[in-house]
Amino acid sequence: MSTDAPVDLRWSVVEPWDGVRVHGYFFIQHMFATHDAVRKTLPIFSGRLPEPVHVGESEFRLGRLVGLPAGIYLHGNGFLCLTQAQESEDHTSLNWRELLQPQDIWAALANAVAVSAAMHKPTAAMLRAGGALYFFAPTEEAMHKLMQALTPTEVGEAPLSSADVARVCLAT
Amino acid sequence: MLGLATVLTEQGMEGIVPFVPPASVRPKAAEPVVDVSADDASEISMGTWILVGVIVAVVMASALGYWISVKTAAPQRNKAAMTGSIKDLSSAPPRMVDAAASRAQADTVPAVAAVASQPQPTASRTESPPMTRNPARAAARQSAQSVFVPNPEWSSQVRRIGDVDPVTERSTMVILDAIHDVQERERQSRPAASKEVGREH
Repeated sequence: MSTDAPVDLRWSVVEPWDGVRVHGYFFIQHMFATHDAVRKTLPIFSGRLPEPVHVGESEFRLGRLVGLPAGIYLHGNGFLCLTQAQESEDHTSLNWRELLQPQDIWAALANAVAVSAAMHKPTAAMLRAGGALYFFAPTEEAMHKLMQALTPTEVGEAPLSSADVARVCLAT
Repeated sequence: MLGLATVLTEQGMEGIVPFVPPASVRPKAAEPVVDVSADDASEISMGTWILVGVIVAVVMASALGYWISVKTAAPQRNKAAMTGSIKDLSSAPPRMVDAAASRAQADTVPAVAAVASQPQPTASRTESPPMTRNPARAAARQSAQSVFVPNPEWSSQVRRIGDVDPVTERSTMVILDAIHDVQERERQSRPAASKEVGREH
């Protein structure tokens, strides 16, 4: 008899930030140098690894938003939407609050929303930074702000990248 | 179910925060799309109606033109081609009537003289004054009931034209008579001319 009870992931930090519950996992990158690509990208998973579905160059549209995530992974009943953060030094439990950019948080959420709408499945917004893997759990307020940034959608308007949506979310 | 996960486990994800796609979040956002499609539809229907109107106008104009041409051109053609021209020719035939009148003289003139006088009609055709009908011959023709009687071989030609009134019939006979005279003169002059040429050589 197998035990299918959910096993929580071992996050290094879990903190709220502007309506988003930030989960951070910090690691030393060279410790995963010999592992396969998925484990190097998503080192928090120790058991069965998520299955890569799209790796870069795939657009996911939702209204004006054109999401361009770094990778999509099938995980359980949904998808992991991975966004690549801006170049920086390695994140640690000490410096992550300074290194984690709010724009990257909103961009990761926007990409995840686009993937969820396109794939018709729940999606987890994840961000890959130097020495860190983040998971952002939005509250309803944060989701409302995100939706406000995507509306109104009118024909003929220029498409928005996830970075554009992030800027709108930061301005409101 | 659309949404973003709030709990991530080794097996999957939980605590989904749902969201509604933006097009349905604000009904106003969807209105312009509907309006645009309605505008497109109205433009298409308006263009279709304009095209149909133009086609109907063209068809009606062509039908009207055809009706007018049928109504006006056909009778004019009949009168002009059949009766009118014949009347005109019969009323003032400049040379053919004259030629018919001089038929008797031509019969008595020798063949050599006819050949010598052949160029003269050509020259006089351009300079001769308008000629009048021979009154004696015209009176004789008018007194006759029909030209079919003295010239039965022409009656078939005249009847081919159709039923015509006596005036037209007579004028037609005048023309035919003149044509006959000219042909007779030409036929008589040909042998004489050939003889003349033979003598010169």
